[in-house]
Amino acid sequence: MLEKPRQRLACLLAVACLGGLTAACGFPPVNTEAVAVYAKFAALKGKSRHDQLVDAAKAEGQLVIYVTNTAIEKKIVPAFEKEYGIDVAVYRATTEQVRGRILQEAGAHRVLNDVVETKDSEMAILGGQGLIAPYESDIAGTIPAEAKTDDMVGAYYIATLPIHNVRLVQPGQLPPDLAGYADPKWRGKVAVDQGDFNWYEDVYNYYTKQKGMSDHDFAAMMKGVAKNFRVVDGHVSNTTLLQAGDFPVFLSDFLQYVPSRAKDLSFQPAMEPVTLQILGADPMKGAAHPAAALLFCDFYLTEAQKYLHDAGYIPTNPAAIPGYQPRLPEGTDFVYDDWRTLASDRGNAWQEAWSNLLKGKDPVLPR
Amino acid sequence: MTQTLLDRPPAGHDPGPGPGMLRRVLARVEAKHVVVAVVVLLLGYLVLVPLGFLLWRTFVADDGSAGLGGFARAFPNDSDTWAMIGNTLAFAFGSMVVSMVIGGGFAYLAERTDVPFRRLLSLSALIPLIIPAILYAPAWIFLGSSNIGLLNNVTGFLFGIRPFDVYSVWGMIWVQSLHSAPIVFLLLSAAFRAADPSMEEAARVAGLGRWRVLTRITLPMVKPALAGAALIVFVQSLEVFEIPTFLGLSGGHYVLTSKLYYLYQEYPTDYQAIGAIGIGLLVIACVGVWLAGRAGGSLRESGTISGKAFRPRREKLGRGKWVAALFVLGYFVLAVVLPLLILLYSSLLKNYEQPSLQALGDLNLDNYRTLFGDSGIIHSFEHTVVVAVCAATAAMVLSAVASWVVVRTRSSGRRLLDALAFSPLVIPGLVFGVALAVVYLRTSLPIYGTLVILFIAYTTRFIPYGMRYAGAALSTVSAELEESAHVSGARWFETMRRVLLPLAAPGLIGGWVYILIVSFRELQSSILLYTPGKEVLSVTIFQEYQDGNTTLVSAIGVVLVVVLTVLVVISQLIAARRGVRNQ
Amino acid sequence: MLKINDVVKKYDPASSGRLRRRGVDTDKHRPALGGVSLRVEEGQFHTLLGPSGCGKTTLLRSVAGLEHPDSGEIELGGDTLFSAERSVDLSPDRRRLGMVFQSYAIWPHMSVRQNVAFPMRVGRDKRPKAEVDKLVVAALESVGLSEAIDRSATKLSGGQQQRLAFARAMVGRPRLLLLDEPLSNLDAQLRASMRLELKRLQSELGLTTLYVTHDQAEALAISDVITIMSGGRIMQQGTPREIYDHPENLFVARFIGSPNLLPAKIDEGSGRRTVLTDIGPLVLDEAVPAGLTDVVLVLRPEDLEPRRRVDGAPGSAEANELSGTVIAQSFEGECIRHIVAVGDERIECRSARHSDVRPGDEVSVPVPGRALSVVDAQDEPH
Repeated sequence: MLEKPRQRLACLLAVACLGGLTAACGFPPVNTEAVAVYAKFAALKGKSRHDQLVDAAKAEGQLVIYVTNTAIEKKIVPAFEKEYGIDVAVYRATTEQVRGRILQEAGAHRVLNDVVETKDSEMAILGGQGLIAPYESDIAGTIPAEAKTDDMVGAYYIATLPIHNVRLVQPGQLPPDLAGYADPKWRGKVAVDQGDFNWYEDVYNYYTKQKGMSDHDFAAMMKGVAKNFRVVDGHVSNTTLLQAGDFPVFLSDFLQYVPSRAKDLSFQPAMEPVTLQILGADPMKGAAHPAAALLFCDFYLTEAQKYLHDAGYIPTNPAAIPGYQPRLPEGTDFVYDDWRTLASDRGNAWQEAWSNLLKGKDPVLPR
Repeated sequence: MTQTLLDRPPAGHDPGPGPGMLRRVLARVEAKHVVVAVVVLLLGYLVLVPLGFLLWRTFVADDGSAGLGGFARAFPNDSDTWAMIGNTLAFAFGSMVVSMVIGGGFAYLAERTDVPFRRLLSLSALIPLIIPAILYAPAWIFLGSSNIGLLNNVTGFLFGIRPFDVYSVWGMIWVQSLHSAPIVFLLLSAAFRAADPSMEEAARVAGLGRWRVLTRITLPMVKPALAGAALIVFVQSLEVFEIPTFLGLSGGHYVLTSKLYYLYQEYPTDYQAIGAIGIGLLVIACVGVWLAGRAGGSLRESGTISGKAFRPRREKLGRGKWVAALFVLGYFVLAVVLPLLILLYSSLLKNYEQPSLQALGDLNLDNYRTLFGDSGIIHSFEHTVVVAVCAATAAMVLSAVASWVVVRTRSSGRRLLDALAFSPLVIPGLVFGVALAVVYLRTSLPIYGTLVILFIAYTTRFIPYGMRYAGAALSTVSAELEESAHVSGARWFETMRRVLLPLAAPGLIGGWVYILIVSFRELQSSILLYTPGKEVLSVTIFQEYQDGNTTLVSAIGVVLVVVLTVLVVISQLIAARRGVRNQ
Repeated sequence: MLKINDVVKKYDPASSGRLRRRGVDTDKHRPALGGVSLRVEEGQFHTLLGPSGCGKTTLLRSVAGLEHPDSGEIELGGDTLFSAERSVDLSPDRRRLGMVFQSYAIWPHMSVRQNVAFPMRVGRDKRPKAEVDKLVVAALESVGLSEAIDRSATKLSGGQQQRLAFARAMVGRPRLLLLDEPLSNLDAQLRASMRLELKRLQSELGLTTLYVTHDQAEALAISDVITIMSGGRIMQQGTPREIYDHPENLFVARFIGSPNLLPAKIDEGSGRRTVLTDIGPLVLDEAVPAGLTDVVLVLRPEDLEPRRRVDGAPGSAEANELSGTVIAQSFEGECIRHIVAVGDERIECRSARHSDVRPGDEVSVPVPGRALSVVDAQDEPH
């Protein structure tokens, strides 16, 4: 007696799943009105663009943004809401979760957000799916070329570099370069995050392309350093542990934690390479509130810059911040995320290579 | 000795089709048939959606071709895979054993002996569950790390040794066991309470020693509950993610869930491989279900609250009493006081620092001011209360009816129903979240993008706990109590409402409280399913934590512990006023 | 009043599977109830008696609606409770019955008053509160529990719980009262007094009663009619006296009392009144019905009183007297039990407690012809 309804249910479910499958094979959801709005404002410039955009955005009244940045909810959104009187709803999660959510929604032909804010390689994935509208405005012209990718105009960088606990290590005790961490005295004291394969690829690019090291030498150096690794997961929680003194150095930590926590943490002297991920906001092609989306992207590159700086990030448009003081010294050698590689199938190969390195397996470089 | 689920048409007789038969069939449909059918359908639907999704994504590739490629990619035939499976099993099995010893031992002490401080035990069973998971593992790092652990500092100061290392398999097992012991405690104390002490008395009279009575009489009496509790903590440890990640990685102890999240980070996401891991966990869990079933762990147990007079009896521990009391106090300090103190201490700081005189000077109430002034936190608390209360209620209602079918009827589908209601426990939260999102994105009902989807997620995920509690509660009520009400003229619904529910109320309320608490902490699927503007507390806690506001999260944790403890105490008082009137 | 026609109930395959795994032999071909028919008349106290596993409880629960037979019919006062033929199976709450369970099934979360009031406060014919209160008080009074009316049900002693269970089962004046071994959980003394009280209550209220027990003394003491069951079948039905004096088959003969059973042959020459046994011929008061040849003679110990034979006097050759030696004796309080060796047989006898017969004495035992009955030796049911 219990069997029959269940069979029927299974059939229903199978139909629902099949329906989902076919729906997922359709075209990316595009809101033609939104595209028209983007085109209209791309042609406008300066104050007239801004004024018309504000009017249109206020008429829309609402904005839904999917973000990864921790500073948005507390500082940037309230400032934006206050300035323009537009209600903003924020979904915040990790970069993978934001990407996953957007792709799932797109798979069901639904676009529920107007703006996506994430990092370079993730934006390339979304762009590759045809979900992102190119952000075009005269503000974009003021952003340096290295902060732009094919799919977005970066608003800030996340700098990855070693951070240490000053109670446990004195500046003089820190090695000048990565190879110095191969010294056995660092055994188990050098934390790396298991998800930081992008940093690994950046470091590879730095040593092989800028310093002319061979693949073989690089692999040998990294294997030596990896012997001393302490593998952790989660930058935030492990920065807390670093600060509490559970280990002295977090090799692939983020710069932004230092100013906000300050106590006991330091990145100075900054060891090279300092790698930069580019992050920014883009309007969605299927946005329900395209003008508000554009307005937010404008805001993100201008007035929001100071909040991004305050949160410890490196702004791409420092001109928008009165009295800007960079945290890293002028002339620091930056390596930019190789987002093209990371967004391609090679990205997974780098993830595997990094995972091999952490587990003491071969090969430690993608084939 | 019970009713069939639906009165079968008698054998050997086919009245043939016709309006007469239809009328007769309709005449025999009772409230119970309707209720049971609705509940079975709902439960089947809730469980089969994520389960079906899991199977579909595992065996069907994105291009629509079916295959087992996911398994090959998730479990490449190398030493890593075997190490990972070995780690997973060792961790799950170790946690099971330790939590059974802790939870079971304290349940026995609390229900069957005259150990002092019994009330502390039921508190130590629930408070570790309330502390946000994201803080629990770090709290133990602050206590048990070989570098900065307070416990090591103390022993180092006193004896010059630093024996504890939380970053080890044993550390993982210990912390996980403290987390799992509560449900063992809760399930087993119900069983110990219901087991007839006259059997033990008879054995003592027959000359068996205390230990033999325990191993030969008492434990076999509660064997079904033991097997059931062991199974649930085993499966829980298979699925847990935070603890292996926090404590296992630095020692290279990778488990299956670590691999799951590793795969989730990839693009394009290999859902077939993710599904294969999910299926792998499901297979291990099924073996566990089978083993527990062999040990008598099915929900069916012999009725023990009969209509006869029944006096609980407590074993006199004699001189052992104070040793046991020391254990109880020690456990209370370890599982509740220390983590809570760390939490309280850190909630009064801006940034966590090791306790020192100077740190004491930095203590302030800023975090609490922020907390009560932040409408976002207050709103997410409200949303969580709404969703958790609804989910706990729905899960317990469904579980109560479903376990009634399992415990009381002979219908052929009841084993299937039991297994079905158990399976959500094994489906990783991540798969759950993705499954619900994909399915409800494709319906026009206002589910995706509202709190309803979280309600569905929590209800489904926590039905297995509800089933355990309801099954234990119902099986302690003798079937004759129901039958006598039925023969007395009470309809099925009246029998349920006036006899079974009041008698099973303490167990059902216990399950409700448990689900309420775990709903407050559920993060893995919440983070994928929450709607902008409708955050729930677990998400807010996670985000505040990500923002580096660790100490604010501690403050939220402290408030949560206070609020939920009050709730627990109230519900326990209600539970105590229901059920069998003993004294 | 109650008519049970040819009710068959097969074992539940699921539960017999479990039993088999535990090593219990569940013969698939032997149903729990193998075509049982019986009538219970209005006001009758009808007992189902048999060893455990004989199907008596299954039959009782089928009448209550707690078990579902595979075929047959059950009717009560003209209403069909169950009919496989017509697809009728009334749920228990529609059958208007009262039932006392072996465990009493007192609801432990209710007071005594609430327990008794329950049957009148639920279901299709709820009664007004005032009437319920009156009936509850009356019911508790009749079982002698009125002073416990507001006590919690769990605080009652075993005997009191028993009375409460009766009060609850009888309060709604059920059409039929079902009692499932209600006295088995009481100690011996209480059981004897409750037995009488039960009978008193039943006849006072004129309740038609179906009673299940495995205790033959209980059954004989209180029943109007006894149905003896074994292996899912009815072995004999009759008044206690009929059953005791005239067992119809070897099973009943063995089951009721502890009679001496002697294999015997009919002496056709005597007009089927004399039977030939290993210890000599014995004469019955009534002729053995035709058709029986190999029989078993039933001699009840309580009909056999050994008398010390006067020294030297020869054994009486008179018919229906056995002679032998007392080889064992036990003092049972109300009587003395003797084992008398007669030829190669051991015959159990009883005497008043003042008997002067001692072990080793030569005795003669008169056998009254009216006390003898025979059953077919082939009539072993299994």
